[in-house]
Amino acid sequence: MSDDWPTLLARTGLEATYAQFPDDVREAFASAQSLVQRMNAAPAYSDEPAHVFQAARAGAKQ
Amino acid sequence: MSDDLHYMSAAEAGRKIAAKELSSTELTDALLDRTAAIDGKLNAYIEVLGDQARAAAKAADDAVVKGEAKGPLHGVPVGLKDIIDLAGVRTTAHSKLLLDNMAKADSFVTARLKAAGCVITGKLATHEFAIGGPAFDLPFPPARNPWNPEHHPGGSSSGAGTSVAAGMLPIALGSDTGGSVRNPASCCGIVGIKPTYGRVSRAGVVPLSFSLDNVGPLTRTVEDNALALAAIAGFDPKDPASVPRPVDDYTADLRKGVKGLKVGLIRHFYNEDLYADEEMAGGIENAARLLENLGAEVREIRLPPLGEYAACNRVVMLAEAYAVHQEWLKTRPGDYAAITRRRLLPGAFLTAADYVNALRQREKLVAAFYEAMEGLDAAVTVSSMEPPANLADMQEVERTYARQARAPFNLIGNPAIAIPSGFHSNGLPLALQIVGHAFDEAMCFRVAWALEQELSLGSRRPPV
Repeated sequence: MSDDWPTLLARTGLEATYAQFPDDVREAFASAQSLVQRMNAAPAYSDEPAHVFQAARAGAKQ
Repeated sequence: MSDDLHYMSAAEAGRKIAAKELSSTELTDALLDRTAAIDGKLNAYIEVLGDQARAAAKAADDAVVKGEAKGPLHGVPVGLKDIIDLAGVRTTAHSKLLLDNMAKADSFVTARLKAAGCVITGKLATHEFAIGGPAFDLPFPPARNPWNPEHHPGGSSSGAGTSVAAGMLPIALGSDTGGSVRNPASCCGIVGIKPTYGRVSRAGVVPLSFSLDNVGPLTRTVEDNALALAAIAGFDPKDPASVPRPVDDYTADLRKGVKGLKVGLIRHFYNEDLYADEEMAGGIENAARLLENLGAEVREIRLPPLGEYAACNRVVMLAEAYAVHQEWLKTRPGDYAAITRRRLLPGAFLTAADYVNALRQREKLVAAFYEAMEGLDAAVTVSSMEPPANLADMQEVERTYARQARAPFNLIGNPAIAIPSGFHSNGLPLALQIVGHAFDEAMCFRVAWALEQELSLGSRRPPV
């Protein structure tokens, strides 16, 4: 667990939730870190994000 | 006659109602009676709207007499996942947080169903806010699988899957953000499509993740699914993602066969990235052989690893969902089911950069899919890695829930349909997915229909 936990928690505004459900909040932090790692994103400097309207832009059959 | 009505397809019911061989009232009564008889064990419905449904059925019958039938689904009963608004009825999202959330207007899809002459029978169970899992700490019990009520029916459109598989309804509408139409379809041995993102409006539907949410129908037959999608598809200026393009006739090429089609097989999703149950994998291999026997050319294709699609989908979904839920998670965390709270909270720890990088990764994963699909008409792959787990073993439920290959197609936006592929030796259904090009739902239906005819699974009924 990060040494900055109080800071991290304060940033989320979830102090009251943490007081009630500490395990859930701590697991959520670990889960988020794990997800970001597993995503394996290594974008190049100029890589654009996908657009919400991706499918619409794609049109019909290739 | 009653059993015939319970399992009558929507297409046949519509034809008989139009020909005055069957009344909507007779059909609606039969399905409401069956619901009253068996839903105490299955919990498919949150709210049955018996009086409203009977009044709508009577109006549908009157319209037929006047020669004013509205189309192939005129007089056919339909249920709504309880995140879809129906004017004057509460939309609870299966949550304590929305118990008093009265819908002021119909959602776009509800209005379209009414315009098609359908009879709305009620609101169906869901995983809380379409993201939790089966839970016992909510105001309503979790739906159960008609093939074995000790097992879950998939989700999050759980009541939709249960009600259609159990002969309580021929059509139900669900929503799909990471597979929530296709999962219950797979678990319950029925058909469910996630249409192309932008094809069906989400206006009037409780959001989970704006760039991944879709509404889609669950049915027992492919033809019914095609008819139901045609009824709800179309442009809606109230949904910013809605696409202004005409709706195809999804039944026109349904029976055209697959001879000459080129079909990809995404095998590494279930025999390399994850390992599917042997019988589940066998069902997909069998389907690929059937397609070849019918004259399709099937060739294996490769995409980036399933885990990358799944994680990217999850980051996007959780970041967007947290934006919706953050105030409640701060002020009323105890009003969520524990499983929902645990699933939503990671969104609090994703940074803006994490979200944008997920969208950048999404672009790459989309491009890889398009490249792999070059020259192909459709692709086939696994849906769930194994049949649904026993509800008494929540650890197993949680472990197996993420073992699926549906989320990639929410991320990409393309249409994907889940259909039954057989039955496991434990009696639960097996399933597969067919994926198509953007806005080519017709091709998904065409391939699905061909397999449906070859597999001939429709006569098997759950033991309820």
